[in-house]
Amino acid sequence: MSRRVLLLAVDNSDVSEEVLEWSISNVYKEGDEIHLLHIIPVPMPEVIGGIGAMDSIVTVDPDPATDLKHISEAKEFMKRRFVTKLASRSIAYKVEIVHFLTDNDSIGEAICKRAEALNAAAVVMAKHQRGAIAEFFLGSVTKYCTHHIKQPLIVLH
Amino acid sequence: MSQPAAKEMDSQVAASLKQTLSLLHRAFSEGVGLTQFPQTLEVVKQLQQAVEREESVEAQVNMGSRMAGQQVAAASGGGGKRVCCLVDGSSNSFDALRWALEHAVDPVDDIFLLTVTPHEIYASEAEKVLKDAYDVCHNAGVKAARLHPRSVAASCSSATRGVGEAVGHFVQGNGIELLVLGSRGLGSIKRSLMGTLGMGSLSDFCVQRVRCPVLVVKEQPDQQQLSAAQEQ
Repeated sequence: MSRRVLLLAVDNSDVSEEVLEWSISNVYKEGDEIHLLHIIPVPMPEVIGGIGAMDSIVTVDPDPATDLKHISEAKEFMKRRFVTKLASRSIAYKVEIVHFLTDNDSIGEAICKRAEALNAAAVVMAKHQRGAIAEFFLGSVTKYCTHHIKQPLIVLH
Repeated sequence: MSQPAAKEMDSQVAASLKQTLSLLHRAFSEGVGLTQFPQTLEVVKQLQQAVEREESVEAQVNMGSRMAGQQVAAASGGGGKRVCCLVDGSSNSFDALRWALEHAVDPVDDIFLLTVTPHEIYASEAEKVLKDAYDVCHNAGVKAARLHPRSVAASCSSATRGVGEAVGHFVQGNGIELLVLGSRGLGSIKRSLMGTLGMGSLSDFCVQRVRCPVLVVKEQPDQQQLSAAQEQ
């Protein structure tokens, strides 16, 4: 029998730990797999200038060093906040850190796509997400997911 | 309303609130129900202090409602959580109820079956919706003592806001710890009374405004075809 997957969208915040606790207390059943998803948004390359055809557009790529820093930070907080809890309770889990060129809508889209691909039994998230980049507008990821997700969605406060 | 008239009404309401509270305080301190609900005395005391501080009536009502909700939640005991399932007669809302019963509800939880009526002429329709929801729960093995069907009126004529606000007040006043709804918005009641709203707008309203965890169960594609066929 295949495992039920619970997809939890988490970030480096205390609220996300509450998301995990709530899911374990209220939705998790023995044998389920908790899939922790964190999305690192990477800003789009900036278009500096260009003349005419596409191949003369000059872009500035995002700094790869910041990306590596974000990824290692993500791995660290995943382990610190969530993995130890799950391992100590013998709950099956997977950690997924996704990192790609995106804007705010796409974070929601990525969550919805992962939920679909994993055939998640439920998706749990906090009302406000925090991306690695501070200027992202709070709450719009949740709004996107509320509208587009097909799986049962639980939003915690 | 002009400012002085509004203030006058506020102070009148505050005065009658003060009176009611002192009566309640006396009743509870003289032993009526005190042993069962010592927390209620505390609630009344806090409200009295708020009145003394002359906080705005609205703030007091909000605080009272919140505290009443917490006391109700604490008094229910048993360690179960208080779940509210919003039903409107649509198959989607019953699917949401069934999913919640199967996946998110424990046998010790209290389940409030809530339906919001846009107008009192829909009272009998609301009864039927609640009865159907009750049957769904019963068939799933939920004990009758844990089921509480309720019907509230929408707070204003605007469909999403009216229903959403009514749900929000219910959640606050009853210490609800999980709200369950389907995503197609109101079912037959709304459809007959008002035009269609954007898809999922009620679930969006609740996710943003309601102060407890919200479970939204989307209508599944095969169900969408079924309900589209039913509409015709």
